[in-house]
Amino acid sequence: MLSRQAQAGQDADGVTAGKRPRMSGIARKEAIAGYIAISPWLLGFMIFQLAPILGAFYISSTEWRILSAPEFIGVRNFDKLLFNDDLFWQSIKVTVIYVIFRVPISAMLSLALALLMNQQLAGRRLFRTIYYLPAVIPLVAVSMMWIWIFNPEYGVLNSLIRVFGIEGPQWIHSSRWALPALIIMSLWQVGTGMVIFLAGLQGIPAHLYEAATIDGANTWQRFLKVTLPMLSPVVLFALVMNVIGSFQIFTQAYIMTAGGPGNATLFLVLYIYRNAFEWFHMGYASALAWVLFVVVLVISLAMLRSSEHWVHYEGRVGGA
Amino acid sequence: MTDQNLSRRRFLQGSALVAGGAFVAACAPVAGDSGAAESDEGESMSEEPVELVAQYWGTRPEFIEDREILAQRMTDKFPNVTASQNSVPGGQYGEKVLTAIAAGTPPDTMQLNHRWEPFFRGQEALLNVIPFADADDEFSFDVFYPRIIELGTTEGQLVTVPRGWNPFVIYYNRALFAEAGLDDLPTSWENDTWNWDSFLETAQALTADSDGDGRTDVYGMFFPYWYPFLRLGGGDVLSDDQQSSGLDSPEALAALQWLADLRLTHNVSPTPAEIEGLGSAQDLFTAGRVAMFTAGAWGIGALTRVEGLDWDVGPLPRAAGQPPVGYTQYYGHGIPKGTQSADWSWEYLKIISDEESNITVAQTIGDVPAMRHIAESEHFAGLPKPPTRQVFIDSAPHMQVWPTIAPITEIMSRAITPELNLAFLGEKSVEDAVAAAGPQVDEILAAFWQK
Repeated sequence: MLSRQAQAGQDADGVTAGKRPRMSGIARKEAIAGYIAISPWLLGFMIFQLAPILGAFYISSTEWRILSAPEFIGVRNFDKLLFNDDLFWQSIKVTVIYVIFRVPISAMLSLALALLMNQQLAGRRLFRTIYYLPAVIPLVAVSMMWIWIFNPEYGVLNSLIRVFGIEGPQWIHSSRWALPALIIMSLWQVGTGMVIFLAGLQGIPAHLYEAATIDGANTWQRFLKVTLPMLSPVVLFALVMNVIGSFQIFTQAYIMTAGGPGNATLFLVLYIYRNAFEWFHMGYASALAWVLFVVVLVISLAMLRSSEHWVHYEGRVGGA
Repeated sequence: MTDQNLSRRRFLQGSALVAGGAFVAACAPVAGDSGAAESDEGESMSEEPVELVAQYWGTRPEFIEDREILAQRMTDKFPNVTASQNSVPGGQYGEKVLTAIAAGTPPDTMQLNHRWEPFFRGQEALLNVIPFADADDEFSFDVFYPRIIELGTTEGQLVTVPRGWNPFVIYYNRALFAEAGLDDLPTSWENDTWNWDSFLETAQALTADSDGDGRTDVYGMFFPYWYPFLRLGGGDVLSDDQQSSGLDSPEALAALQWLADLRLTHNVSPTPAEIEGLGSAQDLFTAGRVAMFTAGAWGIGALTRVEGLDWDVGPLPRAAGQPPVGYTQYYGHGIPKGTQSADWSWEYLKIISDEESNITVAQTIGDVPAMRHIAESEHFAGLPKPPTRQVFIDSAPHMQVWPTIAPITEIMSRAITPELNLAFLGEKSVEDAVAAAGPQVDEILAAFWQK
């Protein structure tokens, strides 16, 4: 390693680096040391993430059933899923509906909880723990529990609804209610978002509120003009992570509904799983996975791009 | 393109076989002809140390114990062999075996059933066992139920040596029958008074709201499987030529409608919502919530262990104008292509399917052994519970099985089940469900036959 560093240093002295400003020997050494320092992660990323991602891209252009060699079929998998596969569009539909409802509702609930937990309440540590608890319980156990909660006959939810003299829906046994049921269930885990927002709230300097109060701002105005702008980078982070996570919903549908009834909860990842490990169409499953990747990438980039208009970075000169 | 790939694969597999054969030939005084079996207790096979792995699914303690005994018996017979088992949970079986074969390290034998036999055969991943049997004086297919061998043979090839089978029957709670003033079920499969009408009447007589709260407490029957009834009614999921969906035949439509009506019109069978969280059909039966249910012979083992439960079995009821159907699922073991030595695999396979192993199937596992004389002996038929064990055995002449076409799992779970579930929930008519499933079935079949 040392010799490589030394060699690199020599090169830096001897080579003129095109248009780029020339690095000094020390800067060069530092850069190399930096790369060496991150190399465990970099190698791990390249071997265990980048290579499989690129491999999956190749596989997506093949028909591959594992035992026979992959057969190159060009864009036929993409052609099929875009123009000739109703189940793909069904899976896109239910996944997008899930994301559209789940992300904003859970963000608002997380924020509301975080604001509440940021107050000087008696026992707020206990409440914080309670709200966060669902986030640390394995999703499989959570799913089993919600199967009981949603039981139309004996479940807690319908028993509560029955108090008002209304017979509740069939929840996960109805193609109409299964998706709303899984959205409702996902809200149980707003504790994760709450913790992130809470950290953000506690980072807002008290003097900003004091100044706003002196200027005559009421509570609502302080929230709109101080809290929200100061929290906006955290909101962006939470939204992006939430969108990515929501597109990857799988466990609940796999355990609770098996994608049904009908295909009412056939989320994209579940459909990918089935193609890959139930029907062993690896090529097609890889194509589906790439579609998911591109969709998530585009949406994430769009959110980051839009953030210029609504995210306030305190340190930035002339920031929004 | 496909042809090229296939031929390359065949070439590789052939090479592996030749290499395996060459290895055996090099070590053995007498070489087998093109890797086929030796007949004289493997004496001509290598004395070099060999490690063999049998691949299974299921990890219940009694399974593991059974497989350990089989491995030990292999080692006892061939001291140079270290035999072992590889048991994985059922859900991981396909992935596990596929990746092992793809990596060039297939197990030496592998378990197969109605789910996996069509798939692996479709992938051309299994050896035909008939040449091994023909070359082996120790072994004869004549001891097995001929119908299992017949149903398992496709284009002159048989890839599974059967070990056990699971004829579907009606399990019924005798105490609940007595309470409802009903006689025991008949025991003959040919009896046409035990038909869909009398079955429905029986189920209606058994269905009860015993505490009067407006909710059904005992359901007459529960059908976790719709396929046996489709076959009883004279229908099937595929057309006779296997080119298209067969669900739109009048027989299939009538059978599915009859099943949907059991639940939705006659209310003698619970909806998924009504029994959710209460366990399997067997659990409901044990708890007295269901008076009859359909299952394979695997029910025997579990129900026998329940103390104080008075139960018995009867044949599946006949549909009007249809012959008796003894729907069954059989299982056994095969040899993946590319194993280190097909001859050693065959030796292991013989132990896994032999008489002693069949006795374990009967006595410990509780299924019906594939060997006829063991099934009909004191090891199975002679056991005391249930009193009418003969019902299982008598289904043999009427034996029918799950479709054997390679993409059957995809046809079922992708195209048919989601639609039929909607019909059984009452969200769709049976006609609409079948009409929606049909084109999807046809599409999968078209892609399959194109190859």
